[in-house]
Amino acid sequence: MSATTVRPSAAPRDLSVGAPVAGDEIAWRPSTTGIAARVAVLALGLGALGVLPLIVAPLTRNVLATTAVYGMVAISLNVLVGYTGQVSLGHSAFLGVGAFGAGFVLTQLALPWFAAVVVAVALGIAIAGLLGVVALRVRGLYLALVTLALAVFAERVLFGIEPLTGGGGGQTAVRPTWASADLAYAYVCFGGLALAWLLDWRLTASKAGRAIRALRDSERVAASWGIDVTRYKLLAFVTSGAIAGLAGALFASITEIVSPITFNFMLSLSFLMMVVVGGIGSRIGVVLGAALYTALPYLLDAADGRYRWFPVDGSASQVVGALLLLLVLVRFPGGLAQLSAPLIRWCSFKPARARRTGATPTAGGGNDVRP
Amino acid sequence: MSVLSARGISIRFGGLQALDDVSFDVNEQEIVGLIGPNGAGKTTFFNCLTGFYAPTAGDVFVRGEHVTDLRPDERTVRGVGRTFQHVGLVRSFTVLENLLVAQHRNVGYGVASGLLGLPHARREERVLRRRARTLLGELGLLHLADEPLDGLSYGMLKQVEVAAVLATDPDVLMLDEPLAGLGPEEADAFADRLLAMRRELGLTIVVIEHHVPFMLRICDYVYVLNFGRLLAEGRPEEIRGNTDVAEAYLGKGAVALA
Repeated sequence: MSATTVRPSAAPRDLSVGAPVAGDEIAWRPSTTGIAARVAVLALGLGALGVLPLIVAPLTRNVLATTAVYGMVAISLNVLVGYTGQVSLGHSAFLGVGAFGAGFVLTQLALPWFAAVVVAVALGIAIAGLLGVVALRVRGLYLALVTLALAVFAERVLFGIEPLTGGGGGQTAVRPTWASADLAYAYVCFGGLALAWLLDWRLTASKAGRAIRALRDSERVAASWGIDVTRYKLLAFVTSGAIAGLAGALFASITEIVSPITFNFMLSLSFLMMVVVGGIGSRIGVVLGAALYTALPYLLDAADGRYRWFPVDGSASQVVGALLLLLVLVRFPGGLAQLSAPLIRWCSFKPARARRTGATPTAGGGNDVRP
Repeated sequence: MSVLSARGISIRFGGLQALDDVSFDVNEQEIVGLIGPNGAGKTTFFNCLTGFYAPTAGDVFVRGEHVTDLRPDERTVRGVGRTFQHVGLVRSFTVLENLLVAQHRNVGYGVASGLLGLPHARREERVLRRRARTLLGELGLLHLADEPLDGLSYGMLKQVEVAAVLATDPDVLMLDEPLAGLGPEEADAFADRLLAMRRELGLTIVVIEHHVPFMLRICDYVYVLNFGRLLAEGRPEEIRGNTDVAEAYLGKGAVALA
């Protein structure tokens, strides 16, 4: 046989991108109407999201802001659970550290809002980095227990240090003057979510994200391919912490007061439920999960207030949330992302099913399959 | 100068002396075989060479550089690439994605430029994909590029694993039982391919395999391990006629292998 092998580090024989060579990818493109349809649907969706804070009842604007912030936390947690494969029950502490850090800078130091954001991100990175160092030694269930201890420690001890956090009374955290209205602040939180989304997208699309996801499957294999296990594990924790810290800073100013009781263990648990129900490892999935779990209490309470259908006041969302979790674990392990996979593929300009190479594409790009 | 060498490697696991004073040299562009009965310590020796085990005593050198204290990934960066006895691939990735991660050490852009999505990083991503596809094409695996791993046969997985290790651009290719799951004709084709790779890439190859005709055909030099000790070493024709080796493999009274 004529085996001609090329050293991967050698310059590729054909550098002119676009001119097809043997073994080149044949990029799949939807038809012109297909592209137009996708662009229209995406624009409509984004537009609807954009005007949402305008059209909802004024009191609901803070709920939207909270949803966006929880979406950021879900993206942050997904970096650990989805890409690194390590469960964190400490994200309430990550969020709280960011929130209290921002509150301290805003109230005690009276510095501008952007300084508070920077400090919150730095604190998020610091606490996540610390946890990352632990995660180099401990993993899986044991790491989950360590993070649980961190969450409880933060709630009971760290956030109770009166000079730093204001103790039980809480810390005030005023909004920036240019976004003091609920409406404007909701858009700020949406911007934060967009930023987290962008960072997560770049992470997964570049070598760092690939290395991190390879580590999850096998550290031995990753190391044998020249990946520095320690470095990339820490990078995953630090990225997660930075996003959570930013989320904390935004969270602090939604109600403009930060109190320790908010950052209890149940909050960590509901972050984890958002990720699992949304779809572990899927960016859009976990954000949908966050939206679902943030909206659920409001919707169910409203329904309960009107129809009195649930026997115990105020616990409907917990019961329904747990049932949803069970349903996902048993029937749809991929969560909301799995359920909406055809739609997501369609919207992201991908062919309906994973395309097999070797199958000859029909001429003219006519193989545009609608979900 | 030898590309890869080991001096007096010993390792103990509790009461078991898994390797006892094993020395070994691999020269530029040689194909060196490592054989021995089950449990002789071949894979353990591989793990010591590649940094997955820390030997109790002894030293490992890559092109004269002392690497005994280096991590596995640091040795990979110095040109040592290996496969695993039980397929070392990332199970949740497609074949192509595996080859993308495997090129990790040759990716020119930094973590930050990747996160920021700078143009040169994106351009290089395209080049990485093209290289991966070229390599798959050369090994006759291109039709599998977008397949998830769980649909592939064991023999296919072993071949994809070789492609992935080649993607790390090694100087020394260390293969742990690469023929597992392959039929006789595929094994023959694989031997041709190894010889071609040595010729065209200037690769040095170390291979563990039980398939004696295969080893006698491709190896320039063979080391025989038995119960953690070096039983014999020499050119394949010397090993074939070695009575000790035949006895270790086939039992008392045997006089020659194959």
